Amino acid sequence: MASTSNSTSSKIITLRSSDGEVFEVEESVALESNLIRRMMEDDCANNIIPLPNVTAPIFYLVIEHCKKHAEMKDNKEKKKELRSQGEELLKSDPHTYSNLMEAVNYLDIKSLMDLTAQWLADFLKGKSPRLIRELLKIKNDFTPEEEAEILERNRWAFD
Amino acid sequence: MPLKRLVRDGIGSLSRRGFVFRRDRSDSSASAVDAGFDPDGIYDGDDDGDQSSWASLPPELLRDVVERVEASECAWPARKHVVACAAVCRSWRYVCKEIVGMPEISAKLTFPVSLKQPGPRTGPIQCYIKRNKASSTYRLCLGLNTESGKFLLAARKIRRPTSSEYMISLDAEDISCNSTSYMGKLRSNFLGTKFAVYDSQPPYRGAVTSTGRSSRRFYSRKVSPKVPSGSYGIAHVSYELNMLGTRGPRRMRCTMHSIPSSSLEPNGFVPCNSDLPTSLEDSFSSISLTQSQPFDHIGRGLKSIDDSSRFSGSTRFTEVSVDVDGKEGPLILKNKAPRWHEQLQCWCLNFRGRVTVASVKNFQLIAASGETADGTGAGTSQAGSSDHDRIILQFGKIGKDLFTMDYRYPLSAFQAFGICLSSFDTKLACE
Repeated sequence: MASTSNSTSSKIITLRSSDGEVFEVEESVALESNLIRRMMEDDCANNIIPLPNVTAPIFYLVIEHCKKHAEMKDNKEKKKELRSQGEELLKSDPHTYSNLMEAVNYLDIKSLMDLTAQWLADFLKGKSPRLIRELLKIKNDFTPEEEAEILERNRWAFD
Repeated sequence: MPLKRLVRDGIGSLSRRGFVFRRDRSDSSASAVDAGFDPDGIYDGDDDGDQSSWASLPPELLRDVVERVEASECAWPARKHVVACAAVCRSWRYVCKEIVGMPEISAKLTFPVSLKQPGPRTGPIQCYIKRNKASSTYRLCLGLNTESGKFLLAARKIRRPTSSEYMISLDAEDISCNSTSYMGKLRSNFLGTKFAVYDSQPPYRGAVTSTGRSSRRFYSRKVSPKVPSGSYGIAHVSYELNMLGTRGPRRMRCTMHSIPSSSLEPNGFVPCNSDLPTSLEDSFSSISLTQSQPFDHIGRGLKSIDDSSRFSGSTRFTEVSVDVDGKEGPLILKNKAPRWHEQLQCWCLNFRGRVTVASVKNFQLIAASGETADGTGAGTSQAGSSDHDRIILQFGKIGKDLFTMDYRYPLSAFQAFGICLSSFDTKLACE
């Protein structure tokens, strides 16, 4: 599915997502993941590497972001593009965004961890708790009494 | 064999992350169950899949995000971003509170609860107080800029036949003991020479939570808005007539019943209520007398049981005290004696530019135990900045109806405000 063009002599790493899909990824891209890097250093990576915590659609997204991130170095235009894509995903499909964050975290891809966390942080600023819940589809698990108390106390902060 | 397994095991040992994350995940769901929440009952969204994805986001990730929100703005009003995040759901609230931490370390005030937590150890938090004589109200605000500081607390003076009271509130528009914003009060005796500061909540949690049933009752009282709060005497301030009669500087003495004198020792700490008044986070954290040595824990544990039995008896005014018999007496503060300036012919204190108008109300408080250390008279001038470091609360006039208040560990903003208000009150016997 997501096999990359092996134009160079770059080694191809084979990975398998939790739902059984197999990916072939250029080593340079795969090495963005510290998890995969460590496994390769320990020589565990001659066969197919299983990624039990990542589903195919999410992994595809991760690879896509990794590539874009590699391209974007020193390129402000690309940087903007990647950022707006991230924000778009956050708005349109927060569920997938949270899965992306988890996957990136699991794969230990530092650059993308930073980006996805920062986008989310910027997204949250200036929004009310209710709006955040609505946009990210987060359940309000406070009891009505607790929520009333919090709102009451928050008036102090929002004065 | 086993190659596959080898690889899998390899992931396990190589990647702690993966496992930590799984464990955290089950932990967080477990605590939700512990807290007695029925996920189906409360959930009002329409897609469980969407929901669970954010609820189960590993705490370390959420923490990273909140840290970014928190770190971006250390000044008001932008700090409200992190306050908003804390009101999204339980797990977010927990993470936000953890990251925001205590003003003692962070030197920042974020949630209202931080007003009752000790100020920073490193240096003072600078505030100002605006007095409105017409309405007998006082506003405490954060910051140097006296135009745009973040509002912290308000107080209103109420004259009673035999005393005066200053109600202290989180809400400048609603200052009464029946308000949900009520924080406590200052009350004077008839002469205005002795004052008591009352906190609407017990100052530290051990005092209440160990009682089980009665603490529950207390908890529910807090939630229902109409019921008046309790009154826990946490400090006494007394003004003494000085040797020079009415003309000279006042002598102040503050006994901080909720702060042990040992708090100023190198490993000292103030037992405190680290949570919101409702102890919303009860389900997440255990009783918060952390930082103390195990031995201390036992001692305090026993003590707090004593206290709690007193709290559960329905006295309206409860004295809170630390173990006065041992070496852990309450912290006692006294005002730094001003020096007579021959050329200016007045009493002088070095306020480092924070006070500009001479007033009998101006004062600097230091620990009374430090009194012998800095000697009398001669030593003070050369002690310089290190001497200044030990000033725990400084209050003084900078303009008509405008005053500065700088406080630091181990006092809280609430305690400091209470002490400063006592300085405003007319002292029949001292002036």
